[in-house]
Amino acid sequence: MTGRIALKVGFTFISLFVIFNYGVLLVGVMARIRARVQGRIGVPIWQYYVDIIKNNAKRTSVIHGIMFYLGPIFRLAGGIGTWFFIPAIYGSYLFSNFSFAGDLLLVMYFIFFGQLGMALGAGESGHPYSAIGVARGLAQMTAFEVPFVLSVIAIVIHFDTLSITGIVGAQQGGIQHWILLVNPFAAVAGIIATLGMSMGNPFSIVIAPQEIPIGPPTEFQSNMLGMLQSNRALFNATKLVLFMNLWLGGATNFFELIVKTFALYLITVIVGQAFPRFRTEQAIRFFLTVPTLIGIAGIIYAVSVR
Amino acid sequence: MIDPMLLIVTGIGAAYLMILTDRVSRKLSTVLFGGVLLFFAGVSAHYLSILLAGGSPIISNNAGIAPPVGISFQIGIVEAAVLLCVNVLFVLGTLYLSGRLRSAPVAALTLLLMMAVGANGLIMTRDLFNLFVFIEILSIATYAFIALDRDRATLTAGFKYIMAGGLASTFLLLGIILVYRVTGAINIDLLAGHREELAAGAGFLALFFVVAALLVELKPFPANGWALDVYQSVENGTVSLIAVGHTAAVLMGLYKILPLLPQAGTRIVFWAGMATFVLSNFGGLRQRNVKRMLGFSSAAQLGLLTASLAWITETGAPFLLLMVVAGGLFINHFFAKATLFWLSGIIGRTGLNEWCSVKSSPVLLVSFSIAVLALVGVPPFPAFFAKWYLINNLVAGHMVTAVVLLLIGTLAEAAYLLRWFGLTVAPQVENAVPPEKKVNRILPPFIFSQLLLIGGLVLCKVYGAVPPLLLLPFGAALLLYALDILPAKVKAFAVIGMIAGYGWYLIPHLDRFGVFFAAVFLGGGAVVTLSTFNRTGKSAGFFALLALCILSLGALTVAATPLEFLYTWEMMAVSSYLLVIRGKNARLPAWQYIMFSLAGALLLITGFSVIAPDLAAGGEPMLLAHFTGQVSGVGIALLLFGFVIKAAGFGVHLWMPGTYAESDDDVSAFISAILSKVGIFGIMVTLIAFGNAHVGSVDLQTTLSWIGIATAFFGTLMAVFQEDIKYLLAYSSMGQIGLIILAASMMDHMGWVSVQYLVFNHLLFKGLLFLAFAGVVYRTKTRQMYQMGGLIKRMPLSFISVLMAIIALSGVPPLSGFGGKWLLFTALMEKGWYPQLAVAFFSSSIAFLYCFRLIHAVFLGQAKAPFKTIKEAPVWFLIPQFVLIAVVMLFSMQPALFIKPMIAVAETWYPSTLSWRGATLVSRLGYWNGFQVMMIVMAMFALLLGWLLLVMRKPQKVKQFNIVFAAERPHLPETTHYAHNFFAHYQKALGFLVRPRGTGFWNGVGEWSRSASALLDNLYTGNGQTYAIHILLYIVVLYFLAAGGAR
Repeated sequence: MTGRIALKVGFTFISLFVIFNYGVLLVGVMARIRARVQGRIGVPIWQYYVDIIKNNAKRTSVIHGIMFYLGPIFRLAGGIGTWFFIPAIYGSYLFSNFSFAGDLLLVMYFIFFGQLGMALGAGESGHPYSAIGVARGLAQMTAFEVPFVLSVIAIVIHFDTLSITGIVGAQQGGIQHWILLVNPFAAVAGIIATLGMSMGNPFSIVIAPQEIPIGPPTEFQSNMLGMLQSNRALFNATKLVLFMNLWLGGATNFFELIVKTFALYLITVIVGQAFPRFRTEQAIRFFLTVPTLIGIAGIIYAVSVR
Repeated sequence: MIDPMLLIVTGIGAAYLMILTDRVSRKLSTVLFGGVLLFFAGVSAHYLSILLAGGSPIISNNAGIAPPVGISFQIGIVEAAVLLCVNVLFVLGTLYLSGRLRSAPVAALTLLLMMAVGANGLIMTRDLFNLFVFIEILSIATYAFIALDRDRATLTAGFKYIMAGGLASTFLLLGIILVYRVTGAINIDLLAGHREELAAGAGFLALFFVVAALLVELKPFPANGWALDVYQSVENGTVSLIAVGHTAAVLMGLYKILPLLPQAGTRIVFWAGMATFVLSNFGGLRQRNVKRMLGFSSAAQLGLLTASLAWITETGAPFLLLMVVAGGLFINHFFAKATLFWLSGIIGRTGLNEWCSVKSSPVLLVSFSIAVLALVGVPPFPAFFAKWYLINNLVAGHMVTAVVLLLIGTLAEAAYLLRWFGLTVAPQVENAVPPEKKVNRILPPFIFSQLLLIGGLVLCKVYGAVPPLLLLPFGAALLLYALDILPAKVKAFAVIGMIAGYGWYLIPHLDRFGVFFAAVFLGGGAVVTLSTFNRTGKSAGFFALLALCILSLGALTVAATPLEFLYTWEMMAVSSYLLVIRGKNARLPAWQYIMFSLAGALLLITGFSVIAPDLAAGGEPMLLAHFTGQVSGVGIALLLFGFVIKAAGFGVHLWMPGTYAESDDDVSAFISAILSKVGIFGIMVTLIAFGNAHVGSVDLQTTLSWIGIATAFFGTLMAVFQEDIKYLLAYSSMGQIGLIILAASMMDHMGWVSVQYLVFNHLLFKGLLFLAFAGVVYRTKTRQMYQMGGLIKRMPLSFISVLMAIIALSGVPPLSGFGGKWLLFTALMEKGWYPQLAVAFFSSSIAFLYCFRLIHAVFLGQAKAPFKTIKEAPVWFLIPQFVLIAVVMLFSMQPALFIKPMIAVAETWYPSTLSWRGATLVSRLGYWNGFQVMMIVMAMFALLLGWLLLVMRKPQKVKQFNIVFAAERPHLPETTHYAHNFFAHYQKALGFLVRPRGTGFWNGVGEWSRSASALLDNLYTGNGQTYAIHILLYIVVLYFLAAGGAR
């Protein structure tokens, strides 16, 4: 029993290591793509490694209090935990992680764990920009959760399970079984929601790089900023894997995972480059209108074909 | 046996004799006068004891000659009881007036005695003409007695009284003459043999005149302007004799005549009574003068009494019903109204907001509270039982309009009485005018109020409907009230002991479902009571009410019949109202709370009656066991709506925010964490007993689910926009309760497991939040969140509590909140309620907004100068919080320990759809292992913390303003702390959804009611001639209606 647990823990950490590195490189690649679109050369694709190492190597570090200190821990624990509860590659014991601990609802709620902890940590800094960023982020989050959950409901109606492994399993056997084709409304609603989750344009008001330094993480530096950057890479990849599992039939090998998650991320980048930014209330209204209606259509369609 | 005739002879004889004895000595007259009144009371008691022992009615013929030649007196149980009441009233009324009587001429004593003689005769006589004579004796003595007062307003009012009485007497005499002309008899018992002659034509007109005259004496709407002026202007001691003594005697006259009327006639009397009840109560709404308001209330009560007598007569209902309904209403009105008029004299003020000096004396306060609450009709007072049985009976007779009128009238009456009560007892209103302290003035109202209370409790026993188990909370409260001189901590300890003892006592009587809710009510109540140890001084009266409320909640779980349930329910509602009103600014919220509670309770009474009036009246067990009879959808809908009001469902939530926010802080915690579940308990009880049903094409289950969803969504959204902590928490509770209503409406296994889980979890986190913020408010002396900030450094333990609570609230794993979300959402998914699921999920997401705001604005951000030296919350606030945190942790780490019993409870009604795979809870759609999630998260957290401690050993802790502030230097915490209007963008996007439409609607109801009241008030011009026309028109209209019906 202990051996099995140790093996599982070991495998999970291997999968964590893999996805972390993938996430870091993905961020680098996308930064480069964005730069090219804007007519710049851009940073090297390993720049994110450099940033993380540099921040971790800083000699000075300041804190504003215990919650501030714990914020990045919450954030990264949230990112890692989310990864742990998602089966990444269908049929792979190595990449199934701890998905036996809970189903899709657990993942959907555990995503908030890191955000909440981080928000609290940022709040203790006393920096108004942190709080402004959190207020915007939370407000936007409530709105994009609506099309997202509508999409999830449609998926569950189709496949009659909340287990992520079960959902991926039901989409095996060819592209025609992917939710993207089985119920395009649900997939489109969900993918639009992911644009909000990724906080790229037009939903980037949360981190608002121009007006306020960097949103909620404003006051963080050194190791703590390093942790936040590590999380951003990891969490980004984790969410992409989740979305892939939901709408694109999951992956049976790592290559497939890379292709599908890259494609999903590319949508975010393309949209981000093509559109200007919404104000918070505009973003909320947007999510609660078009994608929500598409999501409702997805549910109606799912019920009608079941 | 003393001949009843002797009462009259003695009275009249003594009245003459007193004029002579007064020439010798006033003392002698006074002794003679008092002796006769005591003799009357003693003889009445003697009669009643004989009759209660099973004796046959006492009949006495004048000079031994039987009717039709002689006049006969008859005393049955009803007559004896009323005689006793009236004679005791005269004894105490005289005691009350003794100061005035001492300096008054002997005529005052004579007139008083003649009033007593008139009343006694009126009650006893069976002869129509004799009835007229006694009415005249009573009335003329009363006019003369009023006229002893030389005050202009009194004399004017007295004159109007004479005029109205004169008109009534004219009709009465005309009626009697005509009756004699038609039937040849004037003895009521003989007239019973001439019913056919009296049913139509001249006979009917004759009888109508008699009844109409008696009705006019009973102050019907709108022919009661004269009476209102009398009540307002005449001295209080006299008014109490008129308002209850005089009317009791006239009412007895009507009681004797009613059986002679044909069915159409009694029906008209019934509707006239109901109209008086409703319209007089509406008239009372706008009154600012206490005595005039009490006048409206008296008219209304007499209207209801008249209507109930007419209904009972018409339907030939059994004697028991007469005793319970008419007797209950009579006793209630008689004792309560006399008490209040007497108190009015003691207080010496007539403005609604000028009665605060009642609080200066516990005796006055108790008397006042008992009288007002009795008039409102809450248990254990007789009106509660009376209205219960009356509604049962009316529903059984399909008198829907009458029931609606009864409910509206009752609410209107409660509205103005409780507004007055609030203005009087609420702590923020003070008035320094001291009340009178003479024993002879204080004793009568105190005795009457105690008689009312004892009478109520005796009735509980007589009806056999309320077992001792349910009376124990009342006993506990009385005991604590008796021990009120002890320090608060001792009493708090006693309350916890009582809760434990009562819980232990209840266990053998409970099923699984009952055990769960008893644990929530009593266990939760005990934990929250720990916070009351923080109270200093004596907190007079508080602990008695707290014990009554918590133990009543426990008692609800064993209440088996509808009457038991309602009785306990109302005890809980009233005690919680009295707890709420102790808050500093709680007068208006408390009023709203009790008004909505009463409306809910009235719907419950009606609902039970609609479902099964015979069962409800007979006290058969029908709760907590599946009801097998024919179920009415309307009945279930009424019950559910009644409980939804208590659960602050959307649209009827107006009472809730203020009640939660303006109560004392420990009371807020109790209400939100514990009391808020009682509506859910009621909904569950209804669904368990009666299941789902349809009203027309409306499915109740689905409707309830949408009520739950609307409550959850709008409650949560409103919470987001609050600046006041307690309002935020209140709306948050509304949102959470909405989700529980939704879960309850599912009526399947997983839904009902969710109900229990959510109830338990809400108890934990809302208890934590209210207690933690009670500590914060206690220290900071403000409830505005933006005025706080940075308190984490001064109040770290409170911060931990709030942190745990908001994680448990928001449903973020690994704490217990997630289990509730998982159960609810999975259950909704399995049931196929997708729209409800989507909105529930959206609501849950919105909850994150206020959770963050709550903790950020108060504990994080910039600390303000005034709060830099404040201390952590008092230890008595922290202890219950850490008890709750311990339970949250256990609940989170070992959810199976709690969920397994919950599954077993729900299995009582539905087969389980949940299974266990080790510690993993498995549903048809998904799975969740709380223990594993907790272990994984804790391990990750520990690893990362260890790593950070390793690489960042000694970070530099910087001062408050050491932040990267866009190259500027922050100036003040007040301008740097981002907390006010935190979600301005959300307000812009969705704020339009929460404009206070509900508040607008209810304000409209209030405004229209006041306008209607003002309109009615315009009828009463104060002009005697107008009043005379009112009386004439009233009689004419009544005749046309009655004659139409008779034809």
